[in-house]
Amino acid sequence: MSEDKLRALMARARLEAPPPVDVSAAVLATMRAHERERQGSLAPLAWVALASLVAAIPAALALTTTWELLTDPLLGLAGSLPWWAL
Amino acid sequence: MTQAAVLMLRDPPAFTRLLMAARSGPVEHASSAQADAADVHDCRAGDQDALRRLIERHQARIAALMWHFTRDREAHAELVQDVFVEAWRALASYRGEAPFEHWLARIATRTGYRFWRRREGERRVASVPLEDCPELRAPEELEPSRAAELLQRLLGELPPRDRLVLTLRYLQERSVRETAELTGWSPTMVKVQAWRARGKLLRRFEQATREAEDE
Repeated sequence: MSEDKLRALMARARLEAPPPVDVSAAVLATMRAHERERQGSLAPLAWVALASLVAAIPAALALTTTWELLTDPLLGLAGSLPWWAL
Repeated sequence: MTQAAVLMLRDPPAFTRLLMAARSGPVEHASSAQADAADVHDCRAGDQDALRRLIERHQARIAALMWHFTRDREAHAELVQDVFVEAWRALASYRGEAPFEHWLARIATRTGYRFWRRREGERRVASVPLEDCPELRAPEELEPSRAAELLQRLLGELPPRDRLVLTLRYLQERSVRETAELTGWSPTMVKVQAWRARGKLLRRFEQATREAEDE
């Protein structure tokens, strides 16, 4: 008896129409805000990366030059010569 | 008179929904799935119009699901919005193995369940005694919105897990397999949980109607 009534209550409840909603504008606004926030949080990191790059270029050039100089086969030959022969 | 004619006379909006559901055949479903696949692809590439199309195509269905989780219009609109925002964030993980609609329903179920758990403390304070509702004695004569309101109050007295399984199985009329997919539980777990929850609901319903009759 109660089970039938409960089933009837559920059947009646299923007939209800939900209220209409339009969330497309709100979702797109949230999405844009999220994108802006993400870009905003990435911007300082981009500046740090750029500064590191600028500092790394001269250091890399200096290192390459020094390495080439140290690995030059003529350097050993030049080192064995007297100072007045150079 | 046929059942459809009775429904048309007693509840025109429900009859219109029934008619719309009957009209949407497999061809329409297939084209919708294709449109979903194309829009998901474009959306991943950052196309906002594609996201808008996805929302517009699915929001009525999601709104109907979320109405079972809250009857507060403001909270309902927020829940529907939350479902789409979460779907957009998780879009990269959608592999297209299941229809987009099913994937979205899983997100909606999770969102609704989380909402219930968050409101668990508030629920007990806000609940109004059902014993003051004598119309529960003849539920078949109730207006659908009143029936839904009373049912949600009844369900509101159960823990979120029980409410979830009853909502999916008996209010949304999902199969055990579908309920298992939506909740992430095993089919056996769904059956056991539904059986226990249904018993609790029935006992609470009997108590409320008995006390309403005594008044």
